[in-house]
Amino acid sequence: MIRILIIDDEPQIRRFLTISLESQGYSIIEAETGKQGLQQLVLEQPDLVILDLGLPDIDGQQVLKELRAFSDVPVIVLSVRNSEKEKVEALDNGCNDYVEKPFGVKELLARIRAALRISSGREQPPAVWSDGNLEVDYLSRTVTLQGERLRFSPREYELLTEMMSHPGQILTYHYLLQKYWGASHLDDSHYLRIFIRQIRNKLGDDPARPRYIETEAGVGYRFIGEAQSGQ
Amino acid sequence: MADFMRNKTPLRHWLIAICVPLIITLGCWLLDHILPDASLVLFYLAGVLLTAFTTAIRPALLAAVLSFLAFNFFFTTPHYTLYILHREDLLTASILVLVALVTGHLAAGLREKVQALENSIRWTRQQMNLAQSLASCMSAEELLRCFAAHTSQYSAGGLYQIEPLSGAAAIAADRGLTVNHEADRVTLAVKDNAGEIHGVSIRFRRSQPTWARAQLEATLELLRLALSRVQLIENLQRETMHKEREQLRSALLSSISHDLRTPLATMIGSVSSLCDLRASLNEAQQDELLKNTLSEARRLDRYIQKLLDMTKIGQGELKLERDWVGIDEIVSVSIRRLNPLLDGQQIITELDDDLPLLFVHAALLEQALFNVLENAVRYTPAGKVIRIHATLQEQYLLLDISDSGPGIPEAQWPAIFDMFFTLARGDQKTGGTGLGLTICQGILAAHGGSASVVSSSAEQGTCIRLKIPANAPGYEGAQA
Repeated sequence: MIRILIIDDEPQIRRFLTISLESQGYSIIEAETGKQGLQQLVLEQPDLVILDLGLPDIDGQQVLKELRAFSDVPVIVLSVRNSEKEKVEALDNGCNDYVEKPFGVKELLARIRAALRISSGREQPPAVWSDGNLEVDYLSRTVTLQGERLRFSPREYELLTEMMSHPGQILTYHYLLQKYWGASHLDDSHYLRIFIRQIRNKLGDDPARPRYIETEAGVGYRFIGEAQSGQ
Repeated sequence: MADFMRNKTPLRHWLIAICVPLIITLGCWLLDHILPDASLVLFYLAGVLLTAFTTAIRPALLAAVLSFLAFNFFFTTPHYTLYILHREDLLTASILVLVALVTGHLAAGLREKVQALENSIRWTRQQMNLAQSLASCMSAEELLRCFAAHTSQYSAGGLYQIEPLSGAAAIAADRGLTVNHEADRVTLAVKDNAGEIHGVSIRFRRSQPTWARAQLEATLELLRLALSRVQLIENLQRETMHKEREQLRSALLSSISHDLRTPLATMIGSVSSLCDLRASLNEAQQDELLKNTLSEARRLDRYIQKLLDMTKIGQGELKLERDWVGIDEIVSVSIRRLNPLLDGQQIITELDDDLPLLFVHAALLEQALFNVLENAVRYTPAGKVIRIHATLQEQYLLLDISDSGPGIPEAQWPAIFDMFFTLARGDQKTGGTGLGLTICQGILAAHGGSASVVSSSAEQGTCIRLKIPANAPGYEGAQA
């Protein structure tokens, strides 16, 4: 059974999370403070951590840093703090995803599934990714939309496949710029915007109602396409 | 202040110049038979020296001439004539005049220096006094008053004038502190807090030497410095206030967004679980989610109510609807409201006998007490005691609420009444809004009372005292 550690000082939040997550077959460990959370993490070795940033003893960002020092368990941050700075900091500190309070339980469950999928490593990139509409062939490095082959520059292709290899997870501007343009271009997020716009255009993706690439304003991008099984 | 500049020889000096040779002549006449004439000249010499030292150069010269004439008349042959027979007598005369000239000159210089020194000491003392009293002034008006009082004390002649300015001078002064130099006067424009512009000016007399003008202007400079200090302080205060207001506003915003969102997060989470996962939830779980939603909705309602109360108090819109009410009623209503929040804590009330009726806005005072009690419940563990004690002390009814909580460090005692104080401790440790005690203090203040921390320690818990005036102002005796 997959075990989830919830670190949140609000008893009401813990209660509804416990009920909903247990009903989905997860087993729940609760912690009220940052210290308790770190202890439980060591003792119980959960498969995933849900972390609130506003904790009474240690700030959640600090908990995240300390946790990352010894564990690479997937962490989903929950917070009412909705500033981009806060989100980027949390992602830089090593959280896998960020869910803003208030949130619907479906959204959280989807994020939990995505985070678990990545960490379990089950998502070995298959030779071909397809959802029936879009098809990416990793071997021949080709992208096909509705049976028609799209022209992708090498960098566009790399950006797309990088995002596809972290499905459901935010990749920050910082991370992508660093990886593809280098440390000297960390502030040139317009490079990235131009490339993403080109990719979206080619995929026929509407930024207002994205099907594949979702923008997390001021933070980064997330690939939200779901592969069809059996392909 | 200006008499040292007069250069007239006083009458006294002329009297000395006449009397000294006269007295010496009298003495010499008595000694004439004992001493030789040549020695008598020495007495005259001494007399001229003395005169020169005590007076100025002109009286000294007079004394020298008189001395020679007297000596010549009485003691040289031929006696009782001014006829000069011997050449030595001419020598005597010229020596006497020379001595008078030289010593008179020296003495006058010395005296002038001493007087200048005295003047400068007096001047320094005046400046120091002025500077001291200007230093204690906190506004432009005060400065002007202080300056006027000081200068009138030292110069009777109306040397300094303070008058409202108008026209071009006023417009120029509006841009800052300006000193306007004219031929016979110097004017400093001063803007007071009411925006009115005053000109402080010194009128010079034509005969005044430059150094005296410089001294007078130095007084004005003192005033100018004091003014810039006052303005700096005022600017600093404005700046600080502005910053504090900004901080409060951002604290307010982040607190509101946090305090509204936290209950909403639970409500949305619980309800969306019910909607989306209903099939996999049993009845007890569904019930719990519903209860969870309800309690959070109530919490949100309480918070919004408090926020509304707070803005009412903050904007001074709150009107007190006073009526006579007993403190026991207020306490019992508050406790009744508190009952649903109790979690095993016990409340003990100890009300003194013969407490007077209070002339207060009952609903508000009840809210104030409720807020304190709510706080006490939050920090008191189950099974522990919260004590309410009411007693009369002089003109005030003291209502002490003691909890069995963890206590507050003494440095933070006044701060707990600040808006959103709970912000400092994590997101929402206790479910407090950080508004309750602020509202409580606002209500007490509106009644002419106060709320304060009396004592607080980890062992004894915290005791908060509400001080309510027993006799409402203007209603003494109405009770009978």
